[in-house]
Amino acid sequence: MPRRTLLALAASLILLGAPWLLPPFYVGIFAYAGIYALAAIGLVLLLQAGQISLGQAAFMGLGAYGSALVARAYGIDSFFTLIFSIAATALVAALIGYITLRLRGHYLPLATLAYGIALASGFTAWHDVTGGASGLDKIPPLGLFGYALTDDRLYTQLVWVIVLLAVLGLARLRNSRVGRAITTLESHDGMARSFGVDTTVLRIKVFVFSAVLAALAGGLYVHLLRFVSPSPFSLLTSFKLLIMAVVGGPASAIGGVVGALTLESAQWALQDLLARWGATGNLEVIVFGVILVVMLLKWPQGLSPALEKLLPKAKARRSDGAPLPVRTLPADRTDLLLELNGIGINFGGLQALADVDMQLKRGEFVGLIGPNGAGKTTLFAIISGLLRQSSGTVTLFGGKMPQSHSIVREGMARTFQHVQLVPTLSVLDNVALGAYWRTSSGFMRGLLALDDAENARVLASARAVLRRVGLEAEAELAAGSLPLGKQRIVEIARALLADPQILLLDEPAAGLRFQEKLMLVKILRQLNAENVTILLVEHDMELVMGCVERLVVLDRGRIIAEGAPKDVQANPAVISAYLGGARDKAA
Amino acid sequence: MKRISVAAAALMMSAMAAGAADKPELRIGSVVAMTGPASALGVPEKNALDLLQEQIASDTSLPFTVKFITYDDASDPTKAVNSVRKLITEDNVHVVICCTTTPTSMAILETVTQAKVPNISLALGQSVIEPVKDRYWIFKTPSTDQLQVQVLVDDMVKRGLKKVAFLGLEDSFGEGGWVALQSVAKAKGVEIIAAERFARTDTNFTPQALKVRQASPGAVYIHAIPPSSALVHQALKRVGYTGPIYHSGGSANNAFISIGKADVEGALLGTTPVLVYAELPDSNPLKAVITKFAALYEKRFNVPKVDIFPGQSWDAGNIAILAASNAVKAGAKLDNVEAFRAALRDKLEGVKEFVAVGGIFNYSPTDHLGLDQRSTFISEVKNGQFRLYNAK
Amino acid sequence: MIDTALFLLVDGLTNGLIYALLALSLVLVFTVTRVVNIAQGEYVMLGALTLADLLQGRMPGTLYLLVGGLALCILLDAGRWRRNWRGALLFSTGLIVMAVAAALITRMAISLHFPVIGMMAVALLLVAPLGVLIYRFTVHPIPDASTIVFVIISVGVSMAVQGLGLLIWGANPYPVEPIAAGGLMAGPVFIPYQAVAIMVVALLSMGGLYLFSEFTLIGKALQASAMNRLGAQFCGIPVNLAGGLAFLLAAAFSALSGMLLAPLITANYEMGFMVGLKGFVGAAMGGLADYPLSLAGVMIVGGLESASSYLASAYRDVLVFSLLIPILLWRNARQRVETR
Repeated sequence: MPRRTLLALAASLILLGAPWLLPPFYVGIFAYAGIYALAAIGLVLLLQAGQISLGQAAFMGLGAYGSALVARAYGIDSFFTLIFSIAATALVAALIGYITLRLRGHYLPLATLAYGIALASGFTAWHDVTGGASGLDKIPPLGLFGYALTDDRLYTQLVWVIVLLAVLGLARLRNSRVGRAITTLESHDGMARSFGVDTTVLRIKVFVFSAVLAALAGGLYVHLLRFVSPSPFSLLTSFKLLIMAVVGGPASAIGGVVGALTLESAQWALQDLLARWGATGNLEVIVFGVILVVMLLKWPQGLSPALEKLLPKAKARRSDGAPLPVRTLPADRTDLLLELNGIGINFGGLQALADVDMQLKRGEFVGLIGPNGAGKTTLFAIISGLLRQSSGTVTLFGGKMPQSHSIVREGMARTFQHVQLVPTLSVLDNVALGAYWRTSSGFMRGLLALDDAENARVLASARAVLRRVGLEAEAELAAGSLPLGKQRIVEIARALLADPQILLLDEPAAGLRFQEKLMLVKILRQLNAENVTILLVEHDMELVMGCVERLVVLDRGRIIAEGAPKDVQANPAVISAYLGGARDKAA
Repeated sequence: MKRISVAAAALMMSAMAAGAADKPELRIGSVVAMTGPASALGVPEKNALDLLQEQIASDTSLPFTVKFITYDDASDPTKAVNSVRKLITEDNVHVVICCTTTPTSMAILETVTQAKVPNISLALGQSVIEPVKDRYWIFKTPSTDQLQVQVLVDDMVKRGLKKVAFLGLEDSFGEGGWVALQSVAKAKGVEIIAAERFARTDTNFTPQALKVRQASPGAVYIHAIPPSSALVHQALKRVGYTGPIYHSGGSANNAFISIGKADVEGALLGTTPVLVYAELPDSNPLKAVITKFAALYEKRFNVPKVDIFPGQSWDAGNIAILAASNAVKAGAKLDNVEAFRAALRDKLEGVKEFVAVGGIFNYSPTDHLGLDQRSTFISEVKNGQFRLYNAK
Repeated sequence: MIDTALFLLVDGLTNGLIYALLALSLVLVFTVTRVVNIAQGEYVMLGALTLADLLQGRMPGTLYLLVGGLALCILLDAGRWRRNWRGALLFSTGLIVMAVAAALITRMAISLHFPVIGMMAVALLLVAPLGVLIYRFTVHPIPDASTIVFVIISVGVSMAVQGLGLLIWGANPYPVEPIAAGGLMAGPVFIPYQAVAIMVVALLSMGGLYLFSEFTLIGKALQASAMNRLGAQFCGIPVNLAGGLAFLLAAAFSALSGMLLAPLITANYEMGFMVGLKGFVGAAMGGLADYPLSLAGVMIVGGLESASSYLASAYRDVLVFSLLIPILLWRNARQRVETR
């Protein structure tokens, strides 16, 4: 057995065996450490999705109060009230997420701060129901049909079993369809949408799941302590959870566990030290604040990277499934797939595009060229649905331009001018994202590892595509470690995996070496022969002239020429646009 | 800012050397809020325990040496529970003194009851010791909000004031006062016509004061600690309220006057004897005891005037030691920790007419509060000083 | 009914302005460095407690922080000057001189019993450099970090500074003498002169900073260093200097706010955080980048606080902070926020 797996097993055994071996006092602390770890794991997931929450403790509070109050007042088994309160918290989180997750940049953490404080204040203010600041005692223990879990050691065991299950589930999720999509949320929103990921909904799902973990933690907390009050769910606790997530590191769910254990032990060590010195004062808060700052300055990835080296590598998932079904493209080359009429767009006072008419028929191989600043990328963005025009119409496959994340389903896939690969994922995983719209395993199936068959098919198809573009050898490497040229080819492979009818390529040859360009042309020609429509934006004239059948030339937002490459090359307007001089006369 | 004088240190060491060899050890474990929101109360409480430890070391009449072990619960119920557990299982204490606030004291109820360890709480809440049949192991030394509010409401009734408004902190301290006022007012036939809340850290108290004034109460009761209690008082005056304003014992300290200044003239506070002991007649046994304690504390910790909080832990420690001595005299052995805990608990219930800093204690199987009206006074702010009101 | 409404309105506006200087500091820091400084409120606390100490004739605990910070600065930068020992010596000596000068000036102020205004100036002298130090330790090393990282870092700073405040000054409140006791009646509402002072200072500072940033070259240069750091550097704008300056001024304004506020509510270690948060809500109305709007924002916050304190005092925090969310949504929709 590989050494890392042994280490992981040993660690798990220690964590699960600890409740039986520790002296009674430490068992309690260990239980609470596990409970905080659970909430911290939720935060780690959020951080992985590029979000942050300064209100995680408030969700713990919802879970705690929900279960405690109902069990206490109505005598219902706390097992059921716990489930109820988690569900209720999930609903609240879905609502809050729906409202706040559209906030960008610094607005989001501020919003989490706001509802974190509002909820925590609410626990105190609603005195009649929640017992207010003084809290409520006589909270029933965790129980089901008469059996009550009052033994501390068993309870601690339960908590840590749940923690380990959460860690395993999230590790599984990382290597699944949804997990791949989650990695794109932080900085590749547009790219993810162009491959069918509804990033808004996914963000909400991640947020709700994180809140569910917090609510579960809160429920476990309250049925262990058997006393509920607002102070454990305050802003300070949210801050501490954040510190745990940061110290442990956002890369892996284990980070939550490590962060929680580190912080809890540090807390007790500090208090012991203080008690012995007879000193008073909030040394612990100071130390934690400093730890947070130092960690972020020096090790923003937390302890995770060091841990990852000790943990077993996630077993490579099966890639031996049957390839995914592809659509057969009709041979009819007269289908009008894309039509642009009178497209115009302005930004502030700048008219970037005006009066642009364009058509793409099936099987065409069209090049879009023009000097820098002509508006090619802008036009591309409009065509690929990521930008809305100010005037004119776009007709795609005979209909209106659908929502940005539904376009790939219609049959249009693209690459990007600035490579949009997730650098930490493997090449294979990056390519696999292309098949997102062609598959359907969701959050739960990813967590519970029920997506094996489908995932095997996706990875098989991804390997096939990589073989086709000549990058099979690099499949397991981190995408960020590849040279730019190869990264561009990975982007093309990913677009191919989306089974497109139209392929949009934004400067695919930029940064490619000669051999790579040859390979690129070969692939494109092959695709075109299979009736895939290709629209290419490029600066490399030789490449463009050599493979396209029609050129469209853009200059200062308008189309100045269109036709066969030979004709366009000789067009005086085109020449002067590129070489400057007599510009004023030309337009 | 601790400065252990050389003399005290030498005294301690010689006493320890003298007594250590022969005598068994009584271990008193305590958990107080040295940090967190309740640290203003917890820190003086710890100070008094330290002072007691130093004083006890030189008392050779005791059949044992006394060791104090103190932890900080940071005003957090979880930490309180964990700390008490540690004291019971690891440090093997004979008696526990915990905790500073009502929620923390409530949180540890299960723990001490299950472990069968006597606990003397420093919290204000009535619920800590009632219902007595569920609080077999729990006692407390501070007066309850109930007692202090009672004395004030009695005064309201005497003046013919039937309508009272409540202004309190929104934390557990304020809630204690709210609960107390509700039950006492009901019992005495006084109507609560308005209730407003504020926080320690608020910057503006005027809207709440306005609402209260507009309800036209005969009296206003403020349950808070300075600075907010003084600032609310000020705000009430500024919005035009002219009636009597009563305060809880929380305002019974120098900060209240130094912040409120002339505006709080005439404030009436329900308080423990610590505030007004100097004006008590010499015949009142409390005077001598408190005078001695105040002198010791003020000198040792360099404060101009001692507050009510240190007295609470001082009393708790002394009562614990008293009960322990009685238990030893009745034959209990300190080495048999479990049995001793039970014996100590029984002797606690036997404490009668013990004159302490917070009042005269009489515990019994039905009364784990131990205090009565003899231990509660009304103080008035007159010429910038706390003075006994209507010379009780 | 109308009377009450008017009362609450006036009361709300005047109390909202208490948060104005803090909102201003937040906007200043954000427009120059793109940092969302959750720790800004702590300078309020430091200013107030420093003044309290000075007025009571004690050497303020802030000196420990200042000296400690300068020492840390020397340590951290020591490596940089490995080859250039002369430069290192100069640098270290410079900082040591600063520390000694600060201590001496403070000692002098206490012995000579400076008037309140003089003590306030000394307090500013001690607290404002802490802002620069914090900038040096937390922003300067990682100028290209994302907004989220800066938010989390400022959370850490806030915890550390508040903890240090408790350690140095303890939990008790310190009364501070007002510049002028008493107050005036604005209709039925009593406004202490101290509050008037706050309002005047707040309005003048807001106006001044707004004009400075919109109409002077330096002001625009400061903004440029936040919008495009590299570009600004190419234009010769010293972005680090800009950042340090912004933090210095922001700390000064916040400390001033604390010093003016303390006579009204006493100085204590907890006062900064809530004031900071309420200032945030106000500044968020301007997207953290607009002075006039954040002024409007704090007044709205004050008004809302007064109204909810009157109507349902137990729920006032719930109401005020819930309000922040629609404000953020509105601002978010109105501008495309750049993420780095």
